[in-house]
Amino acid sequence: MSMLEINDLHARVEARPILNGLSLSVAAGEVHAIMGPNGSGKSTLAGVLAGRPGYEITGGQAHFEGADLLAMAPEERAQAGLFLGFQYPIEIPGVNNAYLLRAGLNAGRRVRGEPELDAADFLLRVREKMSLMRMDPSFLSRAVNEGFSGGEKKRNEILQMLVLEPKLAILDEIDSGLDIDALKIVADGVNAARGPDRAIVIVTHYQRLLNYVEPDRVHVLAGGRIVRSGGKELAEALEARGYDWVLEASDAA
Amino acid sequence: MSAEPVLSHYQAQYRALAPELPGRELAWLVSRRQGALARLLREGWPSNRHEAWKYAPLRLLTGREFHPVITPPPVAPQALAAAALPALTGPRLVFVNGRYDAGLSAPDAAEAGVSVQPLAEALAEAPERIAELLEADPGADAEAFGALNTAFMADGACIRVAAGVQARQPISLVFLTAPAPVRQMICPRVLLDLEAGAGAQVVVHHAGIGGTGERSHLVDLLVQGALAEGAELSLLRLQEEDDQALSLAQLRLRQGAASRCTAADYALGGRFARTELTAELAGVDAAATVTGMLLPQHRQHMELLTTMDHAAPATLSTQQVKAVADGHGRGVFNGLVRVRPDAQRIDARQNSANLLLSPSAEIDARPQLEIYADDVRCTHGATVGQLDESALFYLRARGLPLAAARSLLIYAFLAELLPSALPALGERVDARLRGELPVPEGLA
Ligand SMILES: Nc1ncnc2c1ncn2[C@@H]1O[C@H](COP(=O)(O)OP(=O)(O)OP(=O)(O)O)[C@@H](O)[C@H]1O
Ligand SMILES: [Mg+2]
Repeated sequence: MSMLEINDLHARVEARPILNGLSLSVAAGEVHAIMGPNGSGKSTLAGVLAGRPGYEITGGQAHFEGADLLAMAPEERAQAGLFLGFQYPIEIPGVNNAYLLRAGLNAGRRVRGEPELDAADFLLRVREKMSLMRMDPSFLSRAVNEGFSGGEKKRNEILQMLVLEPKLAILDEIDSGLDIDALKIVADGVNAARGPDRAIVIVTHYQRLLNYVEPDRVHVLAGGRIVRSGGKELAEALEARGYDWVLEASDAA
Repeated sequence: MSAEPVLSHYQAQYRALAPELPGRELAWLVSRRQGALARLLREGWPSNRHEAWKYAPLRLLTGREFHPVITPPPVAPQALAAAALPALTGPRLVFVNGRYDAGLSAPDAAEAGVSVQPLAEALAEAPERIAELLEADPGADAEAFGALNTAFMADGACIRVAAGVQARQPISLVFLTAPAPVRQMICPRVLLDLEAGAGAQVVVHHAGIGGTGERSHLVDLLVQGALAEGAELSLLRLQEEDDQALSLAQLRLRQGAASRCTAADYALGGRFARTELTAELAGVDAAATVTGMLLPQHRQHMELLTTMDHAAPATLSTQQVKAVADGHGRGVFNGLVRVRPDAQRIDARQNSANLLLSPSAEIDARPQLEIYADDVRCTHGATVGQLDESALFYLRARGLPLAAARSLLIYAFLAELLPSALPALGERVDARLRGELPVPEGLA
């Protein structure tokens, strides 16, 4: 059975249908890329899976390790091992970055019946991941994302993923706004997270990231549905030819 | 209005109690008490028609008979230790139901040049100076609840710092309230007397300590501070009364030239809690910095009324007030900035930021300006918002439970108003936000 199983999912935002019968399954150990035109519903899909408020689910199901994902509160999904890397990470003045990480980590550990990490063990773990992300330790004592540059925010998302060690990571445009070096660092972070027990879904517009993080499957999302799936060569074809040929082909189908 | 039955109750109470009140042998004080009572009987209670009492649930104060406290219950040192803020190791006066408790107090920790005395003792020792301090501030008991305090003040504190002396240790006044068989009225009077160039930190802490009996007591606190030229006072008040209590406080500061006052008021408890804070900036270059925090929850109603009275040139006032209202809670902030004629080169800043957490909660925040001079820089802003939904989702998406995420965001909103030097205060606020304090019956 797949780790993530989405079946004929329909969702609306403010009475407007955005997801229109989307199906997708992702198994442990796999990396999937989702590509698609602006406004096609990629972030909506990520938000629906993570439990962002404001969506109305009008049909279909989504299961995470067999559990009915859509019935769970956002924090329950996170505690169960689902991680959303935000396209636009939120700035939260007054809330300390380290505090959030540790509180999130320990919330998950409590649910799993594991002992909470104390401050020292936590710091050890974060420091190691920070050096991987080439982040200065001073970021820990800053407010969550406050005043971070666009690229720093994205790196912070990946840092959180590395510390929280989710089973399923959905990374929404984690590569946008990154300079060439930062793209490499973020890709290294994602690759470090790859493993037989973990599934990763990458939403991206660019082949560039996929050169570093080789996907097992590539999907095209358009009009709120997956209209085409393939191997990594699909991403290369999209890069070369754009979306039109895929959309035409799917209309014809 | 003197026909009001509740008012004649106080007349009778005064007659019965007068022979026991401190300073009964001082003719000037007796006549001041009598004058205050007569004014109260003549003028009656304020009503909601008065602008300053527009929103107040006055019936809770004026429709009931409160009884001045005669004998407070004994309080064990452990109860004090549990209620008091840790880390305040300086001189400390403790009051139980308004009466000075010598056993729990430690006035002698005071340094040279710093005197910390219960009011009765100060009245016996230096009546002239106390008469002067009271005379200099006739506004203190011009209105009903100030008059009530003057008539019935039974205890309190007098803190004096000699010229040029900087008290290093914070001085704390702890007012513990335990329920009593009758509905009590507690009228503490606090006098702060800082001579030229003197400096002190004073922490006033009200804490309900639980128990059985009538919990809807009235605390009618009156603090008068006199800051001579160049004096520096930090006054911090934390109000953690029982959630049924009625808590009134007047903090009145008169500031001489180049004096500095930092006053902070944190309202956490009480069914109805109201602080009136007045800084009279009477000397050139005087500065007042005011911090206010109101956390009305359940059915609590909390008010902060400030008056920054710029009576001299080149005076500065800065106010930052935050209210967070949840449940059916109601918060009121009324900030008056007054600039007197000829008080030029004035800088007055006022900011009020508020969070409404429930559709039944309410916050009224408004600045009021009375400006009679022209060289004035005056800024004010008031915002009322809700918790940032996207921030809340972000925290939950990292695994924080909804309640923890909410209290974290609220705490972050308030954090800039919490003094880092007193982390215990932040912990009290945090516990309150997390709902870790027991919710009294009938309030949830
Ligand atoms: N809160 C909202 N209110 C109104 N419309 C919304 C809302 N959220 C999303 N939409 C609409 O839903 C559609 C899909 O948006 P979504 O963010 O999922 O697209 P996307 O595929 O992630 O696009 P991009 O590649 O630009 O990030 C868009 O047309 C968007 O305007
Ligand atoms: Mg998007």
